[in-house]
Amino acid sequence: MRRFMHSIQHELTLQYRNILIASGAVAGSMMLFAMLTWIGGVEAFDLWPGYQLAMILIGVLVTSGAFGELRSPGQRIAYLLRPSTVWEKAGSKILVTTVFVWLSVTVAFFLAALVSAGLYGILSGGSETARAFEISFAGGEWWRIAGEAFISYLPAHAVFFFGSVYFRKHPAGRTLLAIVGWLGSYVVLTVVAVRIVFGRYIQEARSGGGRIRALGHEFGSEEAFVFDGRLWNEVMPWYLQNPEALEPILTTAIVVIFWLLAVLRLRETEA
Amino acid sequence: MLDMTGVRFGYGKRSVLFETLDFAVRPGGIVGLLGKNGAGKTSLLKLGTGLLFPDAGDVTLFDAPAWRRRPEVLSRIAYVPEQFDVPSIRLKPYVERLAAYYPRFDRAQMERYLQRFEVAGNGKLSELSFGQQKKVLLSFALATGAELVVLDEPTNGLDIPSKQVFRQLTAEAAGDERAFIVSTHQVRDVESLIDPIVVLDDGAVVFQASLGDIQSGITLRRFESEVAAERAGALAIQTQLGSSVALVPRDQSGGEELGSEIDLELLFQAAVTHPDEMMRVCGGEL
Repeated sequence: MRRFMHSIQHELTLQYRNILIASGAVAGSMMLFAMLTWIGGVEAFDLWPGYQLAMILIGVLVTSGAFGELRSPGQRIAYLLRPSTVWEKAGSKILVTTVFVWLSVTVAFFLAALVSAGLYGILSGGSETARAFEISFAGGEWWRIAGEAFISYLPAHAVFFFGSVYFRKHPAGRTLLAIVGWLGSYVVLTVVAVRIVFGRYIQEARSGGGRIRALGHEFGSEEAFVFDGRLWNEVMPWYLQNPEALEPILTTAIVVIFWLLAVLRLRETEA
Repeated sequence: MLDMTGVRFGYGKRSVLFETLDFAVRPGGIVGLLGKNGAGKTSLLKLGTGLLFPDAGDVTLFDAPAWRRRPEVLSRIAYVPEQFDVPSIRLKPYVERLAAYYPRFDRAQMERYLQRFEVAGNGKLSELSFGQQKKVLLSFALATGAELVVLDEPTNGLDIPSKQVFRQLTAEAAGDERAFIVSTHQVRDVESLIDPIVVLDDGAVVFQASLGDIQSGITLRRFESEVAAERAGALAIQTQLGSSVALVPRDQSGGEELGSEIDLELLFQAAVTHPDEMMRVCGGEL
């Protein structure tokens, strides 16, 4: 445990500057944008809708650089011979690039909201100060927005964390490319599968051979066939009937799987 | 401490660097690992510390397989590579963060080493010159209290006074419980520091002996000419103004003895060109 704490401190020492600069820059830019549009009214001072995007962007940026030591030939030996386990090294990096990034971005946004609301109060002659503060802090809901953004950030983090271990050069760009490639191939595969399975019904509709019938239902057109919920309710397994309930399970699975893959790959890379 | 037995290793299937390498380091000594460029010194050090994995054979470090790089083992070794990059952080936080991993780290000694090397202040490591960075890494390695200190070409990048300081500090830091491996091709820089001496050539340890054995087996003598030196059974000859200095076995006669000091360059030359004869006269053990 003591060694893990050392690893976290070590990681923070290496990363804190990048995290603070990225958080400050994004929050500062948003504040500046709000100030530039202040004439449009107090509504412009609600910075929090941009929080989630900022959080993911900063997080992905910092996470992609997390294994810079391993990529640098001059630092690799020091990294590999640092007396801690691969779990401690990976765990400390995960903690810093999730919790500490989140804390940093949240504090930066909080301060940006505070400053911009205060400045608006001064600019408006004090008449709308209370309203400015209310809007700047999303009606007191800023902490909920921050919490939800953190949860949404975790799957992206896990994927880019794995990418940072896997790709030796340009990890952010290559991970993004891999995601696009994977999604693209998934879409193509799905289209081909649908075409093979349901091809004859679609063909029938196109040739004008009457209404489409499948699984006892009658459909009016190809569009209805594809999008009508009744068919899907029949063919979908029970656990896919309510995707909202599955979301936390899938999210957790993605996070855990990619973190684990990253650690396993890290072992391999270290070897 | 470090045991390498029957190690086979190569970068790729076709280029075999070590066929059956045996190498061991015991506590209490500063092992001078000498070899030409590309002889495999760095690869040997990396194999020994678990940074590279052998294709065959065993490498154990403190009785554990080196490749595992267990934290308990890693906290007992310090390694200063020949080429390195330092992170863009200040000296003090760098030392503080890393020192925490080494239970025997001595902060007072670290301060003293830095003072001796004339590294002052708390500047960013990345803004220091290469030589200054190297001094920081050397000071840190010595201050860790690690039982095995591995220094790969430690004098590269150091100025002449710093080379002297390095020799003094390393000699001071050595003890019966610690071992140092100093790998270098600049043999003059480590003269009067290393004992035992190991010579690596063509992927094999061709010579290994303690300084005592070397001094009792061979001697440095001056001859009138190269021919005279060769006639006296010289193992390595260096021609100087008007005479030749040569390393000859003690059981040979002729020439004028030049004291008990051994010229490392000549020793290295003799070990590479006459490895069997050198091992015979020095009573070394491979």
